[in-house]
Parts: sequence; structure tokens; C-alpha cells
Amino acid sequence: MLTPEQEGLMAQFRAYLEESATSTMGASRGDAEHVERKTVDLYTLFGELAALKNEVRIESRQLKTALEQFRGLVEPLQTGNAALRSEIDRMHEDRRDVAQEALRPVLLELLDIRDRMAAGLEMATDKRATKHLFKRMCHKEWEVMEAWREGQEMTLRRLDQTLAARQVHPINVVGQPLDPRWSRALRVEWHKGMAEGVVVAELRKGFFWGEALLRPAEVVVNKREG
Amino acid sequence: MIKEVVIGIDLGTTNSEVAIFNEGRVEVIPDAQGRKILPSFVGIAEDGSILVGEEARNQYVVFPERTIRSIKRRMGESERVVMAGQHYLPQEISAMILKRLKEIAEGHLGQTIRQAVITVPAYFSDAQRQATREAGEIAGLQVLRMINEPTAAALVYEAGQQEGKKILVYDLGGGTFDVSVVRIEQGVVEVISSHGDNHLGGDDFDEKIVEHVLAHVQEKQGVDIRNSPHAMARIRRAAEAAKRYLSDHPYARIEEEYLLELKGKPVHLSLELSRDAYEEMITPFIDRTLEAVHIALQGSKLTASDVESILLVGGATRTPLVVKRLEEIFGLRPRGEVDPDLCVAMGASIQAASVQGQKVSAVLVDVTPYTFGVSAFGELYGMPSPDMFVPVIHKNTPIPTHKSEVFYTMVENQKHVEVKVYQGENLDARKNRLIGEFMVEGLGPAPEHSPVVMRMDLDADGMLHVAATEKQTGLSKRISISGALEKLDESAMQGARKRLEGLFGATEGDDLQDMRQEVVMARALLEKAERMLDKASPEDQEEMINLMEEIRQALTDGEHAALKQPCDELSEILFYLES
Repeated sequence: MLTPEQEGLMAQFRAYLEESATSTMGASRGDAEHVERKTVDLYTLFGELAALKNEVRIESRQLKTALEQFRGLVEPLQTGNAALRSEIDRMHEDRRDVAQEALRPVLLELLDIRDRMAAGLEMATDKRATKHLFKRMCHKEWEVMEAWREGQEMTLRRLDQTLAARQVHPINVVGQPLDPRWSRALRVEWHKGMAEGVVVAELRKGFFWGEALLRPAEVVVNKREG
Repeated sequence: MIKEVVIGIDLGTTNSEVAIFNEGRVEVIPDAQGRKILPSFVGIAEDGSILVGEEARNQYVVFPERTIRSIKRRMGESERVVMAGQHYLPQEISAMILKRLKEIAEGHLGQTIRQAVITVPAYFSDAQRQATREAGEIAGLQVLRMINEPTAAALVYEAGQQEGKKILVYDLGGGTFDVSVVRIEQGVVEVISSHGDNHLGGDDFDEKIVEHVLAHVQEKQGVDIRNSPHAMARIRRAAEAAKRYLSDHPYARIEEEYLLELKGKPVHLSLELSRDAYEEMITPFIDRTLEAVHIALQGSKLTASDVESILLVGGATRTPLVVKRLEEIFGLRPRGEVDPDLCVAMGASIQAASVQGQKVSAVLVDVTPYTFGVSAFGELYGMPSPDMFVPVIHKNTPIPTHKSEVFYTMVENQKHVEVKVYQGENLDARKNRLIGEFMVEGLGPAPEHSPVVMRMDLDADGMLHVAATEKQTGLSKRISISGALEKLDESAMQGARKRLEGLFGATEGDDLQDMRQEVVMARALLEKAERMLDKASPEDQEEMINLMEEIRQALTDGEHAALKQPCDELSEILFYLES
């Protein structure tokens, strides 16, 4: 099977032969003896044909070598490109990791502040506490206290929104069976009517950061002691 | 072809870690959540799956019957432990921890791991070592070497060390303490002696702070908060945070707002804990560790002055009192620049690389090559002097870092404080390089000995920020010094020396390093004499006591010249007693 390049060369050669045959025929009219000498020299013709064939073979071999060399250059270039691409991806990933790692302690500190605010607010909203305070306060003071509590509630809500915007979400564990993947049991208590192994209280709220755990919940688990 | 990786594992009583040595660098491998420390807990979950590490620890309080902790203490025993109704050999439980560490390494490296070097305590018996080897095999790891933990620590600091060196490895973890004397020569580490206490560690320090806080709340608010789990959980966290803070600062404020409710009123906790008070609380624990140090020294037939280097291992060694007390005994500054929590795993990975024929070297950490401090009024050459150098950031501290120290005013209603910042090691501040000075003016009316906190922040680029703050009023002044890590060139140093000689004359014996050596020798001699006192006859005892008293007096008075004669005489008696 000839390659297109070889076919092209063969066509050129055929055209050359035909042309030379035509000119030979023209010349025969003028110099028959000379023509006869040219046409009979079949040995030379086949010799030249063989030489030409050989030249075609050499050229196609050179072409093949050139193609291989080209391919040889393309492959490392492609490998280099792939390596560069993966290096860029890794750099992006590293940069993301570094940014995340830098953000982690800030988020944890924010959660600590949130814990403290929530603890204060919980006390302020505790019915027993308010009832107790209410007895001692005049109406005006009570209103001031309520306004202050509402303000605190709003601040806490804002903080929760800020955290949520960064994919930080609380883990709901109370009433669920203890899941040690994101809850750490610090103590046990026994509450009749509740299943064993269920979280009865949170000593500290846990949070996810996107899919990953940012801070485990610290919990009290229902269990009959002894 | 992917090269076979050999991992180094620190299989600890409380925590375990895995590390690799790659292209001259040690890397402690984190899990998918970025955690480098795996708690040595194993458990069975509700659904029957195996939990290892943090997750097992999380369920321990609720399900102790299906959780195992500190299995290392049981290694080598033939008795099985029960977990979730099933019986396991201690090595099978350890194998679960090793398997988890292997998986962490495989996940990180993306290739199968088959070989490891595992560390064991120096005191482990053959049976315990064999059990550890079996644990490795059960986990699918061929244990190429088992090395002693102090050996691993020594490799981290001294791998490649050719000349013989005697090293003390002081390992104070969360719940255990070990001390070992090791000798390293031509890269080979040998443990000469070791001693320890299986139930002593940083957790005891936390507990002391918790007790202190509880007593404070009881006194101030008249309430016992032990019955409030919520408040107790917060106090435990605050105590641990305060302990960590006091490692670098002279005061820690423990503040927990809305801690609990008392008769409808919120109870807040606000308490300042000084480093001095904290150190007083933990002194009995440190004393116990130092007794063990003496026993280990005795076992190695060495004295304190023979020890050439002290290495700190375990998180609790970050407590400055540990460093201070060891420095007092040995006259050497202990080294702790490589993360003491991860140090043993790193050493195991260095050994692993060495087994593979890799060229290994000590772990390099970015540290400050100089000490930074300020001048203060104190005793110098046996006389009161305003030029005593007080280090704030010590040489070989990993950078970036920040440290604070407290200083006190000299007189009542002192109006200003002059701060001179030096780079250097000499006890005489004038022999160090003065790199900055400033004045804090306008101090409030206060009695003498009012505290002024000096804080230094040094970053990796050599920028040193120094701040002096009057504790009572918060009045503060600060400066920033660039190029603090640059070396003072020799001609400038010579100039400084000449200027000093011009002031004092070329005094004999002003080499404080030599003086320090004499003091260390004298202390070591005293320590040895105390140990041998019981063995002496009543006459010798009397003479020894007199000489010891004489030496102590000379040390107290700073009369170093007076040390020679009683030291020589005491040495002679001890030699006679030993022979």
C-alpha cells in the first residue's frame, strides 16, 4: 500500500516517462537511429527505476523518522503540559488548604464567642430567672432588660448568619443516638423514658464546616449507671 | 518503579503518630481531617464497626465496655482484654491502631505500605517487644526495627553525630513520664539507663488549675460548681488553655462569663493566674520527675556535669518550669525546638530511612540563632548591677514566636522605665549587641515592685517587635527592630569587647561561662554527696556535711573562687567512699 506521498512521486514519474516517450517519438522522425538507441536501453531504464524506487524509499523513511521525531517531541510536551496542569491544580488546592487552615482558628474563636453569648442569652431567657428578677424589678427596668435581651438575640442571629455564609452549621445531636464521629460524650445521666445511648444535653454545640467536622459536640448521654 | 516506603510509628500510651522521611525532610502524616495525632483508643461502634482514635475516645465515657484505652500498658501480657463481649490479645488491639496509622500513610502517599519502624519505651521487656512486633505483623506491617523512644528523640536532634555524646532525654507526656540517659556515637544510639513514672503528666497540671479555679469560685461566690457538668466542662477547657498560655506569658486571665446561675443571678468567673502561682502548684510534680532524673543518672553512673545535651519530648515539657529546673541542675539549656509531641515519630522515620540506606540528618527547624532579652537590675560578678541580661526569647526557639516576661519597678512611684534590647548570650548585657532602646514614661503612682510586662514578637524575617506594658494601667510603649537575626560582625564585636575592657580593665576570670561550669560541677558534687551520705561513717558524715554547707554558702554568696577548696576536699572523701 503506497502512502499519498509515494503515490504523488509515482504520478510525477509516470508523467515524466510519458513526456519523455512523446519527445522520443518526435525525435525518431528526425533521427531514427538515435531513438532506437534510447528506447532499447531497457537496462538503464530499469536501473533508473530501481534508483528512483530506492530514493522514494529513502525519502519515505526520512519522512517517517521526521514524524517519529516530531511525535517524540510532542509526547514530552504533552506530559509536561499535564504535569504543569496538575502542578497548577495542586497549587490551587494548596492555596485553598492554606486559606482554610488560616480561617479555621478564626472560626473556632468565633464559635467560642458564640458559646459565651448563647450562655448569657440562655440565662436571660430562662423563665425561672426572669420570674425571679421580675419580682424585684420595676416595670421600666424590666423593659430595659427585655430590650437588652432582644438586642443580644439579634447579635447572636447575625453571628450565626455570618457563620452560615461560610458554610459553618450547627450539628443537631440532642435526642439522637450518640454518633462518635462528631459527638464526644463527657458524662452519662439516666433519664427514664428515654432510650439508652441517646444524647440528652449538649455541654458544647458541635459544628460542621461544609462537609467536614469543625468542632465536635460535647454531650451528656442517657445511660443507666452501674 | 515506585520506591518502597518505610514508615516510622510512635505507638504511644495516650497518642500515636506516623511519619515518613522523604528527600531529606521528615513529614508527620495528617489524616483526612488534617490531624497528626491519633488518640490510642480502639472501640466498637453501635453497628459493630471498628473505631480507632478520636471517634473511639468520643464514646469511651458512655461505652467503656466496648472501648479500650492505653493498651500499651498491657502489652506482653497473655491475658485477653474484653471489648464488646469479644476477647482480644493486647497485640490485636495495638494492631488496630497500627492498621489505622498504616491507612493514613497509604491514603496520603497513594501507595501500599508494608514495612515500618516502631518505637517502644526503653524499659520494655522482650515479651513486650515481641508483642509489639506481632501487633505490626497482624496489621500487615513487617517491623524492620523496633527502636527505643529516647533513641528516636536522639536521632531527631543528633542523627549524623559522629563524636560520642551523652544525652538526657526527658519525656513528659499527658499521663506518663520517662527519663533516659543515652549515648550516641558514630550514628549509633545506646540507652544507658532509664526511669519513669507511669502516672504523671500534663493532665495532672490541668487538674491543679481546675482545683484552683474551683476553690476561687467557692471562696468568691460561695458555690460549689462540681455538680454543674456544663460549668465543669468549661472550666476544664479554660484550665488547659491557661496552662498553654502560661508557657509563653507571665499571666493568664481565666474568664468564663455566664458560667452558671445562682439565685437567678449569673455567676461570672474572672481570675488571673500568674506563672509563679501555677509553678508553685506543679512544683511537687516537677520534683518527682527530677527524682527520676537523679535515679536515671545514678543508673548510668554519670553526674549532671557529664551530660552534654538535654532533649525535651512530650507536650508537657513546654512548661517553662521544666526548662528552668533542668537548666539549674545541668547548667545546660534543654532543647525542645522540634515539636515535642511529634518528635518520637519523626525519629522513627529517620531510623526507617537509615535502614533503607538513605543518608539521614537531624531535623532542621527554623529557629532563632540568638537569644533576645533586656537588661535589668540584678546580680553580676557578685555585685548589684543594672546590666544583668535577662533573656526573653531564647536561642534555638522555633520562629515565628512571641514570649513575655515580667519585670518589676525598683522604687515607689517610679516615673519611667528604660528598656534596652540586646541580642546575645552573655549574662553581662554590655557584652551583647544592643539592638534597640526606648523609654516608657508616665507610669502611674504605684508601690515598688510593680510589674511591667515585656513582650517580644520575632518573625521569620528577623523583625523583632518589643512592647513594655505597665500591668496595672496598661500604659504601653513599643518598638520594631528590623534585621534582628543578622549577625554582629566580628570587628564590631571586638570593638564592643575593647570598649568594655576600657571601662573595667581586662579583668581576670570574667568569663561567666567558666564560672557557670564551676557552679554546675559544685552542684553535681553536692548531689552526689547527698546520695552517698548514708554510706559514710559518722566522722566522714560530719566532715561531709561541713564541706557541703561551705559549698552551699559559696554558691549562695556567688563566691565562686571559694568553691575550689571545699569541692576538692569533698571529692576526695567521695573517691575514698566509692573505692
